[in-house]
Amino acid sequence: MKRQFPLLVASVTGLLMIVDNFVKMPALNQAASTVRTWVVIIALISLALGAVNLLRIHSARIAGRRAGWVYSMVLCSTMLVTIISGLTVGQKHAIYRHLYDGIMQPGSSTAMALLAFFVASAAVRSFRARNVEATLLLGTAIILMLGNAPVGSVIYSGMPRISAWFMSIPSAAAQRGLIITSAIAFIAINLRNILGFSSEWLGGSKD
Amino acid sequence: MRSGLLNPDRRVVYLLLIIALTIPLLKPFGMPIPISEDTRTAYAYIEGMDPGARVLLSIDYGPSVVAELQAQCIAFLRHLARKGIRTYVITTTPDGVPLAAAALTESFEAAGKREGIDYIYLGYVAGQEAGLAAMGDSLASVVEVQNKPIMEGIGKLSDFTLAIALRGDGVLMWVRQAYTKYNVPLLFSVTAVVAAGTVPYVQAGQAIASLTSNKCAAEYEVLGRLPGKAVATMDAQSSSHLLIIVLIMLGNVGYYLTKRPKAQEARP
Repeated sequence: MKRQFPLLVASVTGLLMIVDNFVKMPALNQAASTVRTWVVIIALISLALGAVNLLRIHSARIAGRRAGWVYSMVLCSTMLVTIISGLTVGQKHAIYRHLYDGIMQPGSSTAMALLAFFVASAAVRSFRARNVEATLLLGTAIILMLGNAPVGSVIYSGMPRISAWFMSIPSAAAQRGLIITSAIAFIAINLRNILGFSSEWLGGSKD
Repeated sequence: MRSGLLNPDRRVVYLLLIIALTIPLLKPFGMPIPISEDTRTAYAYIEGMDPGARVLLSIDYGPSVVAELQAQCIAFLRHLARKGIRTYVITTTPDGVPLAAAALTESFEAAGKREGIDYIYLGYVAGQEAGLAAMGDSLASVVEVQNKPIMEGIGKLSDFTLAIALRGDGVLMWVRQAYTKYNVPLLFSVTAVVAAGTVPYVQAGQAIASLTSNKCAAEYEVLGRLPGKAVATMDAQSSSHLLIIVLIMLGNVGYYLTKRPKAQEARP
């Protein structure tokens, strides 16, 4: 019953969502709409649950003085200060704004910006015209890089048009294939889940 | 020297990149910015909207991609404010909420527009695609619908004339929930990483246009005469791209210089 009940709930809900798309029946459509609202509520609860779980895990690390406990302390204290300031003085207050604009935003942006350096270093080391395919890849990469910056049009006025052609013809064709195949796979996987043929998403041991 | 070209010291690459990025930010070159077709299409669409239009703008990104998308967000909002189009802003990421406040401050508030009459921030919509699907049924099921004049006639997703989504990842949820179900016209602004994946939707007519990252934000600012930060970053983007290309070329020169002596040695 531990596995059967969640499978039943998932099956009924999934079938309800599918049928709602194709059938105009007020009672059924209203039921589907209610379920969609429940999903939003569950998503909000899961946010809070995630925060509580994070605190629980890192508190245990701090209490046990395990490896990296200092970073856990920084995380927990920052998290609690942000939550308390957001709930008490509000998100428009200077304290909350300083926490977001002074810590979170620069920190997140920097982590992302570091990728530029890693990608540049990797590109310099790996882009080699070893064979025909690698040369084509290299040439395309150079054209797209020049097309995505104003310097490309300074070097050659037609560069943006060539770059746009690569994006709209060969790249779009490949992307279209990817979208179609992933959509078919998505349907297949979720049909298996809805019809109860697959229960890996439940996790745990099979009993 | 050959091995230096083949495998340059990472620190040298990083230092050169820092220099290539910093100098244009401090002393701009002023390179002309060509306008792409997507930007022209997006701008013309908003410019052609009548004052009675109602636009939903969704900030679906967080602080990690602020550098790529915030300038475009502000450019859109400034354009909408200038046109006097009623704009409704939501966020689908919890860490995008302060970004929405900042964008509205720099656009609608700076233009002297009134909250609740000319624009409104509806709040955070939880559940990603599920939240969007619930918005299709009723806005009140996902956000607190305030009793303000701007909310008259707005009850669900299909009541909007246009939906603008600024996303750091795929746009499929908007195509599925907004366009396919309710035929709401879509405009995207996405990061460069996912830009290629949005082209098929534009070509299929499911989206009006898809603007890519800071480049299109700069084009939008130039086209609409909407002063912003994106233009200032274009010279840095140009110099960094050029630097990477030059280093790749040098790496290939080093590769062929080391390859040829080995090939000559291998001959009997």
